[in-house]
Amino acid sequence: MAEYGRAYGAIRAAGADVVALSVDSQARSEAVRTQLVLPYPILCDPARVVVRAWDLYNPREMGGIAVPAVFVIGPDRCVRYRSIDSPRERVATDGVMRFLRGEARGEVLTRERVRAGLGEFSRAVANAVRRGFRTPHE
Amino acid sequence: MREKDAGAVLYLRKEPQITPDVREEAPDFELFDSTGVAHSLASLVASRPRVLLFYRGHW
Repeated sequence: MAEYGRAYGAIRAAGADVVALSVDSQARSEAVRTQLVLPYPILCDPARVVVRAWDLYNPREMGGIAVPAVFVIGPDRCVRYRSIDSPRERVATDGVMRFLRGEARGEVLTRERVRAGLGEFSRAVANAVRRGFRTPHE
Repeated sequence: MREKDAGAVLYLRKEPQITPDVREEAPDFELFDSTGVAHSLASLVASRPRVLLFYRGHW
């Protein structure tokens, strides 16, 4: 999320844009957007309609959440690239950047281990204390 | 009886839950963003390609 915020200028320069999606409510999503100063919108799917329809729903964790994944979708809604990731590994942002610039044709983009820094961890704890944990009925 | 039949038809017509793959058309949807603005996928990708990030969400 934050990485795509930092890369946003380069993504726009490559002719693309960004949008994020989670099952969080509007209030929680807006808290994330302002906290991370994200320049792109966050879509809210609290009813889990889209994550289910796209078969990217993980009902076993945190009251039911999205499976992490990255798509590049063209103006015809045609999927140009997809990476279905895991909580531990995700496609590298610079790989997606190279794809957007047309420099990664035919290449399988590598995934990198997700490393939550101390700042991210303490922010998560502070948010949980402030706004509570997610429930399936939120 | 009529309502039951309609329910059966709806069930049969239920869209399959499939993750769209490369070169496939992504199913359209419409959701509100965190500021209350509604976006369809079609409108989001109308002018330029979009990186669409599904993320686990807030703790």
